[in-house]
Amino acid sequence: MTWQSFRRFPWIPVLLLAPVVICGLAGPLFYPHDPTVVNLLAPRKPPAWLPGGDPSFLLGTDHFGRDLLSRLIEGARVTLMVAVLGVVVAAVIGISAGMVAGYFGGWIDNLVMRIVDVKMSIPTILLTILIGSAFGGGLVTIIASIIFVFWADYARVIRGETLSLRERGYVALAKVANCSSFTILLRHILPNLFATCMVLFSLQLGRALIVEAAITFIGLGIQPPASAWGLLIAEGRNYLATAWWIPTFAGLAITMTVLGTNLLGDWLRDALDPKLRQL
Amino acid sequence: MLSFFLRRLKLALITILGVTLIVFVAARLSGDVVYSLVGDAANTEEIDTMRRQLGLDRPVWMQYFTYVGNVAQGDFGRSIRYQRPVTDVIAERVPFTVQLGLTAFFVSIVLGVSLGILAARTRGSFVDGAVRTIAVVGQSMPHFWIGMMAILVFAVTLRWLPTSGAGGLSHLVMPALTLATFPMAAILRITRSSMLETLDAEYVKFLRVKGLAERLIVWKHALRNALIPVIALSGIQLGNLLGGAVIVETVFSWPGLGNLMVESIVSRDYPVIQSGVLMIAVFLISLNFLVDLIFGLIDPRIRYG
Repeated sequence: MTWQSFRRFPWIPVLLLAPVVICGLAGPLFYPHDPTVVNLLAPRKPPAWLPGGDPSFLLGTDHFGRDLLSRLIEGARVTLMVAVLGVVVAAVIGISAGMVAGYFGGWIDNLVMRIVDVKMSIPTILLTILIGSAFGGGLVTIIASIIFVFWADYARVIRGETLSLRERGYVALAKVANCSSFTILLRHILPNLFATCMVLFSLQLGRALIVEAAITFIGLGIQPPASAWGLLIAEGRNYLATAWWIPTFAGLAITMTVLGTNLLGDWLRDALDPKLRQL
Repeated sequence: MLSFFLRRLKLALITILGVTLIVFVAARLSGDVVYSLVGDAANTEEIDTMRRQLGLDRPVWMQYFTYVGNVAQGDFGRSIRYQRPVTDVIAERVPFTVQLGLTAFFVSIVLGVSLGILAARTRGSFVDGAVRTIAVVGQSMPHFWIGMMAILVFAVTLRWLPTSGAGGLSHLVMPALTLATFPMAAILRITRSSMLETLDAEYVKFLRVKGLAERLIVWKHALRNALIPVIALSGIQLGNLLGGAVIVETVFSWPGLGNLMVESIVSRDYPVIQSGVLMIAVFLISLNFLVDLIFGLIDPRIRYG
């Protein structure tokens, strides 16, 4: 690695995200304790460095005496899985809808854009509350909400890009060569949307994490006894005055991850295509 | 201008119809209203009577048209929990959300625009770096967590401000600032980049060559043009503010519309949730319609675009 590429490497986002991704993939290897084991003899123990802290519970324990660090590590898996799954499905739907709308135009474009308008007119959290009122709380609601909320952003941006891409010379030549619309979209337009999709994905992942935590916080998302960061903050709310560490560390974990994905998105945008600054 | 007006009006009305459809479907999926109204002890006959009274025995598409008709006449149904018309229950909460939302909106614009200009003018310096860090970190923290940390520091530990509820100005400080964080960061970033672009424009270079004071160039000439994308973004941020208010009001037990919505989830008061979403959506659509019209008046390119 030359000094130039070393300097350009996105160190800050990678350093922020690496521990989260490692915990998400291989969390059980690092548990200091089992995150589900209740220990009613040691509830709300403060972090190890404070008076009354126990060195074996580095970040302290929650109201049931469960080890907070282990719950945070376990939470990384659930939290990341939900956000990634939601955003990936949203991306597939949004990219397809956006490409079809932008390429074919006409009534199909109108239909897609009107649905996007409808989605845009309902604030995110309210839309998730509405979905929650229809399906009840839980994982289904939270993933459905993320898909509902985020597909429209993809559709809008990808449609705009497709509109300009379809006027390019190589698309006209492909038509002359008798390529089907499907082949043109898949082979000639989709690869050119790659940069936009990557940047959007990274930025949306951060937003999805916040939405996920917010839905869980108001009681419609991930339900106890699971460990998710949003849930830890919600549980910690009742112990704010007596056990500040429960919500504090979970919130720091969310902030660190979202900051990482936001910075990575910014870096990708500058690295892949400086023209994308308005995203 | 008239055709532009009519085109936008048509779009707004179609969007409102789309929202009613979504709300209607959500209402149907949320379970049978009849059971929540008649109670557990009711027999089949009572249930059937109730169903006929409510028109639930008719085809779904007819129910939808009835629903749209009722809503158009201002009849949003009754709250299950409060046993009063939904419109009354919601109307009581609106002033609180308006107070909180407008304060946060004002704070985010003033802070966002001034910090954005500051960062643009000191581009590349330490100040610029610090301001941009604040912006990117501000966009990475969940609202409810900022709120809880604020309560922990300013209410629980320092005891400067009340933890929750509505009252005097001191009750408004923490919720409003918490709610303002995210839009402020967004406005700051767009102001900075828009200002940088404007300061690079030919006419600004000419003004510099002419020897005009930098202060006058920034505040009198560049700012006007730099603010156009900021104003467009502010409209979107107002929608985000209403969404964020749901969370912030819950954290601070602020008795506004958002708090009502979350309470209604717990008490399964679906008519309130659904009508609340509908009303807020209609409000935002109307607002965007007005913003579009104003932009169309100011900038003819948009009218014919």
